[in-house]
Order: sequence, then structure tokens, then C-alpha cells
Amino acid sequence: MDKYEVMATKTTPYILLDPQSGELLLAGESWPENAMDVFHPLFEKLDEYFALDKEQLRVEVKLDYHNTSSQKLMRELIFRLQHAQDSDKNVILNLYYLDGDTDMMEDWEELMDDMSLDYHILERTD
Amino acid sequence: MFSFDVHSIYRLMRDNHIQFSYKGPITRDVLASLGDAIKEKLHRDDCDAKVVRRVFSILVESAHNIFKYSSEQVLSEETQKSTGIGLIGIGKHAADTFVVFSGNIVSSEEAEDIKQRLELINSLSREELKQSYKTQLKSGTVSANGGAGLGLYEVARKSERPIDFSFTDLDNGNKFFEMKVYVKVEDQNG
Repeated sequence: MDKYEVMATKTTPYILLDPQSGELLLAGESWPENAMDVFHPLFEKLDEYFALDKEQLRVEVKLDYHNTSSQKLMRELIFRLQHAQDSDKNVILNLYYLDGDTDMMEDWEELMDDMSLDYHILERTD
Repeated sequence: MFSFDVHSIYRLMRDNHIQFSYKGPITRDVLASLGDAIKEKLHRDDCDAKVVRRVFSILVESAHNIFKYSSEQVLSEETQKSTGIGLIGIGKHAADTFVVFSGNIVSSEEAEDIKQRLELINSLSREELKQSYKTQLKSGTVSANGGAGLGLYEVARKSERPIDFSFTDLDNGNKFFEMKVYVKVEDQNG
């Protein structure tokens, strides 16, 4: 599959799913009117990626802000990652929050607290 | 034809410490510009980054409610989709408190639904609110228009409660819904 790259807009994040490096990156802000427009095309690409003979996916989520609709879709993303892990893929998930943004840190904790997927919640200072 | 004076709008905004207010179709572009202006203004006033993010978040969730629930709709040229008309803005309620306000026309059925949800949210303790948010996050699906049913919970989580809201009866059976949400500047350690 080709690299899947979507440039950021004011309300949608930069997305890169690179089958070469085995990495998925989400960065910027995510608050479109309808977050499905952002996440559903990504889910299709992820299905494609996991259908490849790849053992690992590293997921880096470096969002500065995301709205509740995006949070709901993040949960669906996590389910998909968890499913991949259950199917013997090695998934590394790093969820970042900006220095001092304890609200987002809590958002990530709440998102993950009933998931079996391994993850790290990390502070970033960039 | 026009029988208003700009001065009265000026005074109303000045006397109530309203920093921004917009009335019209709440399109993505409008929201993005409003967001930029507010972030810039709050940063210039040396506001804590956390407060800026909370104010912005409440603004976004309130605006998305107008998108979805306003009974005044226009077709957006930008997206070719219908978008709600409403009023949104921010002001200073006290030296240490911001207010994010929004208003739009809703049907009486929508009004009843919003009223019940806000009354429920206002009755919850902080801890219950956190639990309800989590339950809502983990149940149900996103509706076709992108709604996750989380917006008002998020607004409540990030603000001083109760959420201040009211409905005004209009001639045609509709209601004008207004909501004021207060965000307090916390102690840096808070």
C-alpha cells in the first residue's frame, strides 16, 4: 500500500500512516463538525495496513486539542488497535499531552482505562 | 429601515465586558477565526494556557450544539451542508471568571430535550459528572452528524457549575435557548 498522508487544516489533524516505517502519526487539532470525515478514511487505511504482512505499528498521537466527537472516534481507533494486538500484531501506542495540559492527560486516561492494549501517556514540551 | 444605533451595541458590549460576539451561520471558517482571535486575545492578556484551552473547548462544543440544534438553518457554500444560525461569544464575568455565551432558536421538542439534559448535568456532583461522561464515551455510537452526546458533559466538566441556561417563548411556538458557561482562572497550582 502507498503512504497515507493528510495535511492538517485549522480543524483537522495531520495524519501519516507510513507502511515503510510502520508508523501512524496524528498531530495538530481535531475539531471538525463531523469527526467521522477524518477518522473513517483512516480506519479504511488501517484495515489495509493490518492486512499487510507487518508485525508492528507504532502509533504517535500528538494532538494539541480534540473535541468530544473526535474523542469518541479516538476510542474507535483504540478498539481497532486492540483488535490488531489481539490478532498478534505488536502495537505501540504513545498518547501525548502538552506540557501542563492535565485536562488532556485525564482525557487519555479515561480513554484507556478499560482497554487491554499497552500504552504510554507522555508529556511533550515541543 | 434600520432603527438601531451602533452605540447601543457598543455600550452593551462594553458594560458587560463582552470581548467577542458573533451572530450568523456557525460555519467551520467562522469558528476557526473566532478560535484564533480568542486564543490570541487570551494569550495577550497573559491568561493561563489551561484557561485558554478550556474557554476554547467550551466555545467549540457550544458552537457544535448550534450546528446541530438550531432551527434556523442555511446551506453553507463552503461544505454544501446545512449549518445552524446562532449567536456565540465570550466575555469577562468577573476579574477571574470568563463567560462563554451562546444562543439560538430551537423547536419546543428540542428545548425540552436540552432542558432535561442540562438539568440532569447540573444535578450531578463532580465525581458523578466524570462517571457519566465516561459512561457516555464508552456507550453508544457517533450519530450521522458527528454527535457523540458528550458536548454538554464536556462543557460542564470544564466550567463552574451550574450551567446557566434559559428558554424564551417565541411567537411561532419555537424557543430561544441561551446558555452561559463560566470558566474560572485557577490558581497556577490548581
